[in-house]
Amino acid sequence: MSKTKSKEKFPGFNPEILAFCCNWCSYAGADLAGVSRFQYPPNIRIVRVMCSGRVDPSFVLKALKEGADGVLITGCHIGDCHYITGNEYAKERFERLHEILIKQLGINQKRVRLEWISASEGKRFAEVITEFTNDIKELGPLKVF
Amino acid sequence: MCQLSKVQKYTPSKIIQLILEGFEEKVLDSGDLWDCLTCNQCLKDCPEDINFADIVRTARYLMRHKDQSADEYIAHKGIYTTLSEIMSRPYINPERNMEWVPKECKISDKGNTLYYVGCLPFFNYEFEGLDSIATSTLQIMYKVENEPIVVLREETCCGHDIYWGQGKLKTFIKLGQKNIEKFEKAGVSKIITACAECYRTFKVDYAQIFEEFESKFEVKHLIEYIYENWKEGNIEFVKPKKSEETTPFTYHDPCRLSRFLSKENDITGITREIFKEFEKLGYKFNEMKHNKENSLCCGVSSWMNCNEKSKALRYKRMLEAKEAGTIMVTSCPKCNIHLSCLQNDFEDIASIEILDFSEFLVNHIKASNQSNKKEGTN
Ligand code: SF4
Ligand code: SF4
Ligand code: SF4
Ligand code: FES
Repeated sequence: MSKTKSKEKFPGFNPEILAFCCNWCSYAGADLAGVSRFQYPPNIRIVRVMCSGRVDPSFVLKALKEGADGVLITGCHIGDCHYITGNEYAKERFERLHEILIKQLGINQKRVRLEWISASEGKRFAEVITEFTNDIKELGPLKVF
Repeated sequence: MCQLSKVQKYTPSKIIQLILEGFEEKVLDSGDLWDCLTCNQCLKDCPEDINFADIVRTARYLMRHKDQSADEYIAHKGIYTTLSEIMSRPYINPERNMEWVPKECKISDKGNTLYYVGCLPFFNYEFEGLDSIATSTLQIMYKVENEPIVVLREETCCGHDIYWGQGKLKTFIKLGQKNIEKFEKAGVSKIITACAECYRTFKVDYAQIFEEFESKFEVKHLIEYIYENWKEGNIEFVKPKKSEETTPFTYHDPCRLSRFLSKENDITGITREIFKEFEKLGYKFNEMKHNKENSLCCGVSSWMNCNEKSKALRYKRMLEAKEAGTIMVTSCPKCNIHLSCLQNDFEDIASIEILDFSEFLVNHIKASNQSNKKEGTN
């Protein structure tokens, strides 16, 4: 987990983070996190998708274009995808998005992340969100002029 | 005749008629103008010189302001146009891949002559081998230039697709301003590009929109660059190997280098002059049925309208190519992309080798013996 520094690098910065969560695992994981009252930062907006394979890289780009400071995609662990290989597909596309598009745009690659979180991992869901939010806070807003 | 009307009920004359009769709103509301390929065949054929594609571009601007979305018309779910939009933002500074630059080519970020690469490095996301266009272009340029050529890692998109496809004028202007700023910072006065769309955009649209662009920067397509250096005796073309003699090639004129330039601009003509010289050396060049100003459109200008109808156009084009040669040369990376793409769908056209002008020429050009390359700046 990320260290919480006493002094913030970008005071007053409240990152806007968009998360695409797979219905069958991580969305349920998010639910569990809520039910179990694991705390995580409120900066995140969750979009539920039926499978991580549904997340087209263009969604991520559009989110960044519309002003998101970070985008998270979550899906079932490899081997557990409800549609068998949706997440493998997602992983392959994500890697190309990350390496070829995000990198060449000059956007810090840490702003876009892919994670596998199962339905039973409520705690992990909270941890991932917290860590990601802290990372984005460290990086500061995407829109620095 | 409209290239699209061969495959669907869509005629520019009908739309002009409606506009003249005062039904402009109706035309805009119908959304029909999203279908146009902006290929400019109609302007070429129009006795009244009506620049229909330009009307379409402006109409698209208005259509978006009527809350019509272009999304369903944009190919690849808008990945490439979204990239351009992101690049238009002032806080984005691209860090583009430079692996394609050959080791022997020393590039610089300051100097007189710039090679404007365009969006090629981004196309690696799902298309293969396009880097070789950039590599070949640079290799050709180094046969002429002595001084390091400027290639900007932080280059931004020229904005062509945003401008024509969606009529996003403001985004286009922002991209233009960003580019001009970078050109000025690098101190360049000459811009060479190997892309048909970038060329037209700089040559005509930037020149129109941005004051002094024309006087500050001299823009050339690689074809003109090669042609002029050949005429000046700096480079010459080499005789084919035995195996090449029997391989006929043909050439696909991109709309942006034929119907989209001013009448004085004769890129189609100088391309033929180069090929004529090739024929003298023993290569076989054949024209396709539709050539020069009558060239068929690749059908997906500005990443718009990749559908069954434009596919029909592409197929027709590829059949013409098959009849004319084994190799099809073009000078627009996107024509290359869209036409190659069709080869995955149809076996009968899969054997045609599609090459960019730069890729085709790089092995057939050498620096002249007499010339010791250019001295310093020119
Ligand atoms: S620009 Fe091309 S597609 Fe559009 S109306 Fe003219 S001929 Fe038809
Ligand atoms: S890709 Fe080629 S033919 Fe198609 S619009 Fe662009 S220049 Fe014209
Ligand atoms: S022709 Fe192929 S490469 Fe071109 S837009 Fe359509 S699917 Fe994409
Ligand atoms: S169903 Fe969860 S990743 Fe495919």
